[in-house]
Amino acid sequence: MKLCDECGLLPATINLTQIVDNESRSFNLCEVCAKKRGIHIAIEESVFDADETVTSVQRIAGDRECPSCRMKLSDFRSKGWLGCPACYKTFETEIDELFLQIHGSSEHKGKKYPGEQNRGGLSRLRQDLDTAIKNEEFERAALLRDAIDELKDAPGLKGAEGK
Amino acid sequence: MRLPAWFDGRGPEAEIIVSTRIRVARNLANYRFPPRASPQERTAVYEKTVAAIGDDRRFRSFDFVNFSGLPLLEQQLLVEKRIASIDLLRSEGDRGVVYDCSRRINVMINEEDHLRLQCLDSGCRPVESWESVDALDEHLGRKLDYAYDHRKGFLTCCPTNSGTGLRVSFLMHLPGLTLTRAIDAVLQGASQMGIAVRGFFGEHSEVIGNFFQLSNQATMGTHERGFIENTRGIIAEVACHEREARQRLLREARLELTDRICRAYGILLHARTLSIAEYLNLSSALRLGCDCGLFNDCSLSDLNRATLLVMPAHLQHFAKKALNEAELGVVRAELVRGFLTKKRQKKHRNRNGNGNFEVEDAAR
Ligand SMILES: [Zn+2]
Ligand SMILES: [Zn+2]
Repeated sequence: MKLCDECGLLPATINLTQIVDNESRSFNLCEVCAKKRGIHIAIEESVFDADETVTSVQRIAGDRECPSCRMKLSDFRSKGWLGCPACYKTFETEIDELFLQIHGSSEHKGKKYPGEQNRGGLSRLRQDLDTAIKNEEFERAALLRDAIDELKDAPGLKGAEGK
Repeated sequence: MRLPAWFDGRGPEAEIIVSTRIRVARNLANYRFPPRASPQERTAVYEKTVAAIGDDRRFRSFDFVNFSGLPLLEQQLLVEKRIASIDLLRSEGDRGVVYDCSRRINVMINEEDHLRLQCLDSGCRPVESWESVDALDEHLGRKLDYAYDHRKGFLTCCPTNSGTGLRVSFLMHLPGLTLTRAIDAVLQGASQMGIAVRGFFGEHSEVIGNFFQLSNQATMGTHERGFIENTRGIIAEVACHEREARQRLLREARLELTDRICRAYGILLHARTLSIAEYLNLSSALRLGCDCGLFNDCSLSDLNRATLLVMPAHLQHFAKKALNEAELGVVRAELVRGFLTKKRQKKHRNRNGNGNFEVEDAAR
């Protein structure tokens, strides 16, 4: 899967042709970076709303796939349901639009889940672990790894830790 | 046989609002949603949930039923009692339902979502139902690791349930609006205010017996009590229209209304074969008669009870054998005949054999 030319982090889903310095150039962008450039593709049709230097915008052919349950975007569109909690991150843009259509809102205002603190703690520990490894603090890293292992007693899906 | 609590017909406004159902959808963070889960994942979810409920003394009286390996008829009996859903019956692997001894509260495991916590009450009782569901949710939420996102709320298999995961639904009986031909306008108004309308048997089912299920459409954008209040408000308006329609019928078409009720009673007392739809449509007239004071040979809760007993699985359960469609019709008619005759005789004995089917003069 191609990564975004701009941020290099997220999968590229949009191909864009733009005139830069009198030259036509092609970019592969993720949803987030495309949005930053004023390009917005709705769920069904391609709509764009950018400056005149942009000559074409299209979705990159080929589906996105949830890294955790391997559900494809096209599956989600045809079935209407998702494969796992991580799908909500994978298809965030599409789901947010759908939320607005269904609920007139994409914001949860109901009960807060107290367990979330635990999982928030988990992701914080992971960040700490990354930093520790980067800074070569291996003793600290080992302690953090133990703490993480204790927190996730998950025999289930690998890689889906309720992001 | 133990009947679910919602059948008693004694809740507030039960003459129009038959029952209140509140459910929340929840999923466990580390597993794929049931439609995409492996058999091992389903088993793990099932076992974790059963352990989380079984752990607590407050839930000691709960019954656990695993649908995997359960005879089809047993599954159907639970669906007809509205303790389990038809989708639970149709799914695969380890799945099932846990319910309390009064059959008010239940948790479906591995239906469309890992957990569906629900409470069913007689009449219009959304606050009580919500409190029961909420308490159970608080408990399970501490024992299990729910899939939750601070912005999107509880993550569900279908985005139509995300956020609160809450569905507040009322089973309403609206014959007055049907007879005065106001039903379409009233329901259209409700749906413009964000209410989904379904038939007696739930999603995609047609309307029979003038029964309608009305529920909130959205689950995000406000809090649970907001959805409950809003839905209850709209339902109260619909109920108010229904009450006015019944009064109008009594005022302007008393003879026609009485005639309709008596004819329905006559058919139910004498028919030799009855389909489910026919039974529901005819007994709808008797329900209306009970409320309008035009029929009192049996009560609303008698009719609720009969409505459950004439469902296909219940009939086969009592007949102790499998029955085809035609046989079901015959057994159903027999049961209804026997049931109504018994109620009628009992009533007349109590009145020292006085009179026949009664038309009371006093309007409400
Ligand atoms: Zn990017
Ligand atoms: Zn997924």
